[in-house]
Order: sequence, then structure tokens, then C-alpha cells
Amino acid sequence: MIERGRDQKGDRHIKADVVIVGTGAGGGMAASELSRRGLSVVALEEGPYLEQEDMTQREVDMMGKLYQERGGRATADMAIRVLGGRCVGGSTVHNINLCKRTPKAILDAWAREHHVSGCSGEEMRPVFESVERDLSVSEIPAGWRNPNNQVLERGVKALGWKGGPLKHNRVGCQQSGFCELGCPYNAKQNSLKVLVPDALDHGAQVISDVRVSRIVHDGHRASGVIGAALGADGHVRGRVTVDADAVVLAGSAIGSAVLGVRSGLPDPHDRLGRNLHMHPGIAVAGLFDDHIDGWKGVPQSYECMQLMDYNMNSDRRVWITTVFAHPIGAAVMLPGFGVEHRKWMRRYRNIAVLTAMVHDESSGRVGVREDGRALIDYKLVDSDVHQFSTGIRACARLLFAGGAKKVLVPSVPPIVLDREKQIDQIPMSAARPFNIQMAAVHPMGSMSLGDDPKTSVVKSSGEHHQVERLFVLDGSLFPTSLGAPPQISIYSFSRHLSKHVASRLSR
Amino acid sequence: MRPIAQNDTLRRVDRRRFIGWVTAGVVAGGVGIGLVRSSGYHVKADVARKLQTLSPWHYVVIEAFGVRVLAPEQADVAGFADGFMVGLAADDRHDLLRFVAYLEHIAPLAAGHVSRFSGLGPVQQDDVLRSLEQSNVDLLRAGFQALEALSMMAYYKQPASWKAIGYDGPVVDRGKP
Repeated sequence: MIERGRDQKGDRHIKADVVIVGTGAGGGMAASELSRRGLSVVALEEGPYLEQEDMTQREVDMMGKLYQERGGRATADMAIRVLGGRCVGGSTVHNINLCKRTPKAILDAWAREHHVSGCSGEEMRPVFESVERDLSVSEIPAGWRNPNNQVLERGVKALGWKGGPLKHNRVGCQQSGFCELGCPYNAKQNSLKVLVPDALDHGAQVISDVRVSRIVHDGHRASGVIGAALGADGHVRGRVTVDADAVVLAGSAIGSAVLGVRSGLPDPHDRLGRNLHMHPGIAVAGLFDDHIDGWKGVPQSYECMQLMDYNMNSDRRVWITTVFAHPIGAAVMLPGFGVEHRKWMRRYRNIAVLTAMVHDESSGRVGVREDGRALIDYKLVDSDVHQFSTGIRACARLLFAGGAKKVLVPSVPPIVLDREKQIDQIPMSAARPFNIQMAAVHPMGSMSLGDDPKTSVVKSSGEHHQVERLFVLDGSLFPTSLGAPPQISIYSFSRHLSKHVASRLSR
Repeated sequence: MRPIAQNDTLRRVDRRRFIGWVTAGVVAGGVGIGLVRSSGYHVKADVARKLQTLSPWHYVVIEAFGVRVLAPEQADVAGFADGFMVGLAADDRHDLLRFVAYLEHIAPLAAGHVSRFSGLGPVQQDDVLRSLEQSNVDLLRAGFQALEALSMMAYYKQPASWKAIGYDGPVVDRGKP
């Protein structure tokens, strides 16, 4: 049973073999793997434990329950919204279930240029296979493709571009289309449904509502964490101290780095928190004669890969898929205010939306604000702005090819295109931060792995270069952007590297 | 040399006095303008009593913002913002309230209107909002977007707003699909 920190009375002291901070893809997998190996495991989650009946499918309500900073977290300059999960199951509770393996070209580049060992395509293949099996990953059947995704498919085929159906981890899906607000049908085969229960079955202790403030270490060896149990009102209910033989950070590329910085981890080469990538994305809308009703059905079941090449230094780094929002999300994206905005909202049923996500070369840094929250310093480099510009045009082309009568680039000022010929007139400035709303849902890389301590924070085993028995098993590990949704990579790297945690404890 | 020195001293005194008068004038004028610009905000007593994060004048400004952003629709944007901001980090709340102060007092001047935002007519208010929405200053645009987002949340969270856009709302409310 998951314990709720919000019910805690007074202070609490726990002893375990391993303490894991975070219960998302990385933390849930680590809890499952390590408890299955007979280790006593305590997993701490900052957010609440939500059950099926808590998933109300209402935007304001669920943004507050599922997301960090109620969905309002952003880069320091406020140019890019950065969404991350905050509940038992982490971001796997609100993600769209997209399942793509780490591209082989990326794994090869990590080995070649970032000194990552033991994680080649050959070594990772059986791990990917086992993760996909355990999480019931399968291709979304064509009959489940909703009109928004049909638009993308039509566009890809009409243009003769590369694209195809996507795989998801969902079983018993009711196609309600509210995935980003949590699934009330328990269809997501995610950390919350599959891995956390497995860890509990193997004796792990999982405690929600605990904010870890510090890793206990002496500069050479980690020995636990200190945190606080938070009430539903956010007030501290009591202190939580866990003494452990190993500490696993799995609080996301933002959360783990924040904790590392706050804990004063040794950082002789100034790598901690650096190298943050995020796959920033923008949206472009198409207006159709027919109803699209984009909020209904399985989201993101089709992709366009025409502008994606995973080889390093490629100038094709744009991944395109569909994105749709419920009324508040759509209202925030659509341009103007008052009567002008209302006109757009009245066409809500006839709008299809595509997103262009950039496999980013831009690299940011995670730090800590005075109040202890994450400070995300991330600025787009010109080459990525150029990718956005290419992505906006490609989305417009796909929408017209998919049957759109008009295309809206929701920039400031908004750009409305009536025909395809106008696409080349979209100015580069439309792709700049602040000129168009940007959001990022895939933070990665702030504590990257590699065998060279000068260029990485943790070894290829996931263990910290300077602090023994401190491991990182989440998206922080990735030395570069993935260019693909990261959940399968995070699940797989956590499974792959958990064995090193276990073997370290047996020594 | 001496008379010149005296003259210099006199000039210095005069300049000092002049600066003093100007400063006093500016301060007095500022206080006066401040009093005029920060008074006259009327919020119903029962509403004012319940405010958790907004002062009455913040409430009035956000209400005026919401009216224009949602026009011709309506929602209790200020009431929603007051509750929503309880959950924000103190720094974020502070930044948002600073933007509200800018919206009320500086943005109208920058757009060529002498009155404060909440005292302007609808056309002038739209003028001010447009100048913020399309401002060259990134932070002003971000501030506008943040308040606009709060307005949209306040309006589109209401099931009554969904029919007009054809949204059928949460499926869980209708049982298993």
C-alpha cells in the first residue's frame, strides 16, 4: 500500500538498503528492479498519490494535481513553459504514452563522443524489448486514429513524406482523449499502474507527499536523504529521514539536478545541472470545413519524420506529431483577445493542431532559486530557432495537404494563411521565443552519464563520479537530446543500470 | 577671486535650493498623483473580506482586464485569480502583482492615456491591452499572457462556457464511454 505523507504525524526515521527519490519512469522502474532483487527499498514522491476517482478530466483541477508548479513552471526568462509530473508515477501519469526507443544513432554518438560504455544499441536492445513487453507497448491501430491524426496522416501521404503510426503503452483504453489530464480508466501501463505496484508486491515502501530537501553525503559517499512530509495545504507535517546504503535520484532532469545542487554535491568540473535539453515545441493550427473534434480519441497516434535525422550535427531536427488541447489549453494558444479570440474559439471543433518539437542543440542549466525551486536557465540557439522556422512551415504544409482551408501560426502578431503559396512568406521572427508560445515536456541531460568525469556527472553505471553509492536513474542521464519521446529510454536506462546499484550494495 | 567664490557659493546654494524645491514638488506631485491613482477602488465589502492574495485595487484591475479579454463573455476572473494565486510560489505571485501595477499605472501612459487602466473606457483599455500583447518588451508580453491565461482559465473552466464552442466536457461525468 502506498503511504501518504500528508497523513504523517510528527517526524519519521526510516532505514533501507536503497532510497529512491521520485516515482516516475526512472524511479518506478528502479523501485521494481531493486525490490525484486531482494533489497529493502524506500521510494519517496513529492507529489500526491492519485487514484482513478481523482482523475476528473477537468483542466484546472488536474493541472494542480498532476504537474509541477500547477503547470506554470517556465524557463527563467519565461519564454518556454516546462511541464513535468508531480504525483506518484511522475510524468508517466499525464504523458500521452508515446513509446519510441532511443535511436541507435544517438546511442552510437553517446558511445563515440560522450564516452558512454555498456549502453550500445546491441546492449540496450534486449532491455528495450523487455520494457516494451512489460508495459504492453503496441502500435495504435489505424481504426483508432482520430480526425486530428488523420489530418497528419493525409498530409504526410499527400506530400510523400516520411511518417507512420506511433506505439503507445495502453491497455483497455476508452479513447476518451483526456490522457494529459490523467486516465480515469487506468489504461496507462505506466509506472503508477505497473511498476509501483510491482515494487510494493516485492516489499518496497512507497511514500507520497514527501519533498526531499537534501542528500546526506560526506563528499565521498551518500548515506541517505532528508526531507519533509507535506500536508495537502503544502505545510510541513513532519521531517522524514531515510538512512540508506545507496541513494537513487529519479526526480527528473529538473528535480534531480535541483536536489544535487541544493545538497552541495562535489562538482569539480562544473557539470552539475548543465547540458539541459528539453525538446521545446510550438503548435500550428489548421482550420477545416468538417468537425475535427481534436480532443476526442487517442492523441498522438501518428508522426511525421520527414525533418528528423538523428545523426549528430544534422540540420534536420524537427519531429512533428499532433497535439490538441481541451478548452483552456486551446484558448491560451489561440491569438488575440475579446471578440477576435472568441471567433477562433467558436471554430474550436474545426481546428486540427500539429506540433513541431525540436531535437535541441540548445543547452541550458538547472540551478536553484532563493526559495528552493528550480531555476531553469535555457536559451534557444539560432540553429534551433531555424529548426522551429522550418517546423512551422512544415506543419503548415502538412495541414494544407491534409485539407485545411486556413492555417494559423499563433505568433505575435498572428499569421493566417489562406493558401499554401503563402507559406514561404512566414517570417523567421515568428519562430523566436516570446513571438510564439513554446512548451517543453521532455527535460533531459542535467546530470549526464559518461566515463570521463570532466564531461559528465555520473559514470556509465549511473553512479556519481565523486560520491559513491549515489546513482542517477532518470532522464538527467542523457548526454544529448534524444529527438524522441523519452519515456522508453528512461524506463530502459533505469532497468539497465539498476543492476549496478544492486552490485554496488553486494560489494 | 573671492567674489567669484561667493558667487559660486550662492549659485551652489541656489542650485541646491532649486533641486530641493523640484524634489519636494515631484514628491508632493507624486504623492498627490499616487493618492488619486490609488484611491477610488470599490469592491463589495463581502468580496473584499474574502480576498486571500489580492488587495481590493488588484481585484479591480484584474476584473477590468478580464472583462476586456473575455468580452463579450464574462467570468469572475479576479475572484478566480485570487484563489489560484494562493497556490503560486511567493516570487511568482509577487511578479504577477507587479505586472498588475504596471498594467494599471504605467501601461496606459505608455499607450498615450492619462487615466489609470481601470478608469479607461473599453476602446482605450483594448488599446492598452493590444500594446501589451504586441509589446517589444518580452516580459510585458509574458505578463500579458499570464493574466490572459488566468482569464481563460476562469472562463473555460465553467461548463456553461463549453456549449458555445461545441465541447462536450469530461467523459467521466457521462459514465464509461
